Amino acid sequence: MENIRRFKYNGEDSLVLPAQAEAFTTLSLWIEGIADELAVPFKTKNQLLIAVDEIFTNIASYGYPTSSGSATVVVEFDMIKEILIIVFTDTGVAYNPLETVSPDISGPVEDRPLGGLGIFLVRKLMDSVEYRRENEKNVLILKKQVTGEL
Amino acid sequence: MKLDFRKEDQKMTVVIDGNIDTVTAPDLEKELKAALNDVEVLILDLTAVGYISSAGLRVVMGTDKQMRKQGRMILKNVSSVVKEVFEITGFGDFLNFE
Repeated sequence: MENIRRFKYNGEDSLVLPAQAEAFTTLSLWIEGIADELAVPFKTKNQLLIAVDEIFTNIASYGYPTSSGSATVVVEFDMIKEILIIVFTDTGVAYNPLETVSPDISGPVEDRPLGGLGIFLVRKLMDSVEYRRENEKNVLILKKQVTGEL
Repeated sequence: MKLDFRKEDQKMTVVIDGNIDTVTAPDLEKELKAALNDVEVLILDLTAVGYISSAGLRVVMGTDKQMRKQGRMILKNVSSVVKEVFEITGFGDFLNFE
């Protein structure tokens, strides 16, 4: 598709990261660079970084409980709709974060749950979040319009 | 992430420079915990914090709970994205902002 631009990482079509929280630094720098190249507004850029943090941290924390594994990230830009598309693929435990129950954020502070907040944030900050299980892989797709908010 | 601790008697200001993400949040937690002794008023200055993810929210909540026992915690210079995160997650209901 001509209107879709795929971003390269070191000449590769995707960025493959060890599923460990520390690897987020590499991912965040890449996403930040892409956002800067596309002149994404500061606020939108930070919303993207939060979403990417949450999704990657989930994979790093729960994806591979008994072994080490990796996560593959592909970033594309729909130049007509001005939508950034970030696709995470991992071969870890089948997990659909969209089935997570939204946390109750109305109770007293002592009772506030911390689980589920991450994916809750992602859903609020992105335009769309899709999940599918494909060929024994988890595929999670984030979409966000990155312009028009100036 | 860089942290600058400024203490005057029982009041401590911590200027946080950098994003509070999954990598930096554990360091922030450790450094804050180690510095809270005797502190009655803790001010977190977030001028240079671009964003905070849920890992950072955990630290903010834990620190706020601790400070409620010994005084209070106040957040200062919160950027629009960080504020949005606090609002979405309901943290804005119990945190003190200056």
